Amino acid sequence: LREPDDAGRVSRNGEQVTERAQSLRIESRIIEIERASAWMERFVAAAGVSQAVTVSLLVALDEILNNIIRHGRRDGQSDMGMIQLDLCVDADRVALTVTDDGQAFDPTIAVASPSELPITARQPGGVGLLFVQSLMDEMRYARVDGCNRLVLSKRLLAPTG
Amino acid sequence: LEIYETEEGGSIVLHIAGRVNSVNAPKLSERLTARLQPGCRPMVVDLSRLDHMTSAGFRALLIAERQTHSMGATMVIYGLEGLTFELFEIGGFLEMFTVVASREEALRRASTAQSGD
Repeated sequence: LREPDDAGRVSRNGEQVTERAQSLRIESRIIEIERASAWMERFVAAAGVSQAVTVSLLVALDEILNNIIRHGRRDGQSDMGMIQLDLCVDADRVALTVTDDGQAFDPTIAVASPSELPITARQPGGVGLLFVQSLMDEMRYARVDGCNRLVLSKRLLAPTG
Repeated sequence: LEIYETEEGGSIVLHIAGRVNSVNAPKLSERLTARLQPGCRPMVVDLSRLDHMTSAGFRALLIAERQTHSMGATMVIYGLEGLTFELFEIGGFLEMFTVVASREEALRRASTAQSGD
């Protein structure tokens, strides 16, 4: 734990439990995905999150941001949108909350599995959300105060039993 | 993202290493497109050193596959591991590309396809 400000180590029932949260605001531009990915990777690495979980999170973050940045602006909404990222690592899961003020879009609505579609109708665009749904353990969406708020969560350990 | 080429058994082998994401996928697309010319040698794509690839990378591969198909050329992919294999499966991409298990098989498939034209 290199940065004490970054980490909130707390003792719960005599056990050392790491609870941490961090936020980042990025502009709604593709190049910003790089900054967001580096930020998330640094943060989860410091929290001791496994490589397998980290890679799943990186793919999910890329897909969600790519979707918001490419499709989230309403017609006539010319200002550069901002996207808020809140990351929280606790004892058993990582939760990533993505908030943007683009047009309402609920990515948790089921995407058809490609195997159910004819080959010609399969497009990688819808595949990104399918990846997120498959890689994350939980996805929750809400429209709050004119913003999309998506919570993605991933368990740190494989479920037992 | 690191892309480098080798020539093996009459095929061009494109090795894609590192990460392919929304930001750098256009680079991958450019590289693939530049390589695919009428009358080009068969192309083998090595993904064994890939850390991960998002749907933007799959889009780049898909564009290359369509281009390959339209000019009667050949593209064979090998080296799918871990999450990469999982994503090929989830996205239904295993059946959209020619995917084989090993480098040897990829080179064999590529050269057979060419001589069979």
